[in-house]
Amino acid sequence: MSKGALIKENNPNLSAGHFLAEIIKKGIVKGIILQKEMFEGQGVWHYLLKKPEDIEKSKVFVPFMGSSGATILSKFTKDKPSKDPIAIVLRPCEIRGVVELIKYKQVQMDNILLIGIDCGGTYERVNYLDNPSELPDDKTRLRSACKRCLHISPEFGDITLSYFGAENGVWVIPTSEKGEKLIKDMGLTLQEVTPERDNTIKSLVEEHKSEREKQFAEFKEQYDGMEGQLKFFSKCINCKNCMENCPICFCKECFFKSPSLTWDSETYLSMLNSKEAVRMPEDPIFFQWGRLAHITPSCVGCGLCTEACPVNIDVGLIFSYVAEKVQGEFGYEAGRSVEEPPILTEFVEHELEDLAE
Amino acid sequence: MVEFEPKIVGFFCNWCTSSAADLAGTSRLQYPPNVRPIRVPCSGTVDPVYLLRALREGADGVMIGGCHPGDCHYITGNLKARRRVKIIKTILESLGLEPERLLLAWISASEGKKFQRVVTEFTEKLKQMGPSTLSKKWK
Repeated sequence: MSKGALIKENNPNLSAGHFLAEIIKKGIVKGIILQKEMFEGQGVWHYLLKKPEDIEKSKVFVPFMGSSGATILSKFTKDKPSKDPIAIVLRPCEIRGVVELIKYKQVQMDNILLIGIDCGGTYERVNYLDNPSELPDDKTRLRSACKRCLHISPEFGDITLSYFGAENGVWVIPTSEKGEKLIKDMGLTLQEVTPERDNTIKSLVEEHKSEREKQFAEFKEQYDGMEGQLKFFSKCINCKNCMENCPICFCKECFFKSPSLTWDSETYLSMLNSKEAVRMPEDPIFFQWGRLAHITPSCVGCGLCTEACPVNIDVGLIFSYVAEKVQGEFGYEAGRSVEEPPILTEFVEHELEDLAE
Repeated sequence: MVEFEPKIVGFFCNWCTSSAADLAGTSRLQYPPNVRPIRVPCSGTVDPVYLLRALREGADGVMIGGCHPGDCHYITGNLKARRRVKIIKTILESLGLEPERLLLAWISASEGKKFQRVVTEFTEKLKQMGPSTLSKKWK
């Protein structure tokens, strides 16, 4: 059973906001990156904030995630670690993205206080904006990625905020030495966290497990084989938004944006001699397969590719489905541990002996 | 009816498999002309997207030839290729897309005979499998 401090205000978001504002007031960090609705009806986005009164009204548990905090942290610290202490509030999938990016040297954690939240899931952008809500209390509205998510609670970070079993309040649970020191510095007293939190997490994971199996079985049934691929990606307009929104896609020079996929007019015309159809300007299935090859070894299944898709293809479904198999082959799980080297950075002489002729 | 002749794209390492192909040629070992060899500096330089692109653009089979593990001129290039091939095969298999169309072979510079055998066997196998559907476009 974990220990945590209970902070109680009118609702979970306010309680969390109160705690985060205290961190700023005590001068422990200079700023906090968190989700907040700055302009009414415009959705909740990540902001870097320093004023306690702004932070107080943040909405960290709001069921909306438009972009990944892992990408934000990477932009913030890739070239140079943060000079001043900064806190960032992230969901479990974002944290798993951060873990992968740390291993790829795209995030530097110096001076970063990582605060995770127990996540009840998020709604799609349009769904959320139609009817904004403070907490993910309607399970039917969850994104498909959230419905199949098995990581309700963060496994990496300094502090975990949880509204499960906290009755409108929030549990502040230290998960590292840095987190424990912070709790001490803030003068909070620790108590046993009610078993209701663990039970809520367990039951959510069980629910999501069966939903995950159902989604994967449906995918296999509907989209197996080449005909299935053509059906699944038939709407794809090759906009590459899925790639832009992916926390793991970080290459500066991308193969799919390079000139290697465009030709001059003469080459296009000469293709007509050897092929019956040339998809213009390029083939979306090759793009999606190529991205599967690049990303599935580290895919954390956040589903932000689906979120970014303008033609509503559930890109995240095929990625999660394939990633589970690819990572399973190597006994690897993206985002599980900073110590575990990613599949494509470690090479062992004696493995996969039967693969080659 | 004309027999189906599969198109094979081969990515052959400069140090081992390409030399083995030369050796097979200079030793006058007969092998099917279906393979279109591309000489690469090392099997580890082949990005998985090139394998997929070949399959998508009409190849019936793709072959990667490298040095035996431990013999790579760049120490670990072939081990990298092996993991990548495993990843691509897993992706193809999970989507029901015939992973057998991808072949990884370790053929050293002295193994002209092995080169002949591997290419012959792969061609025969692809002939049995028939034309690939992976290059199919929308109609």
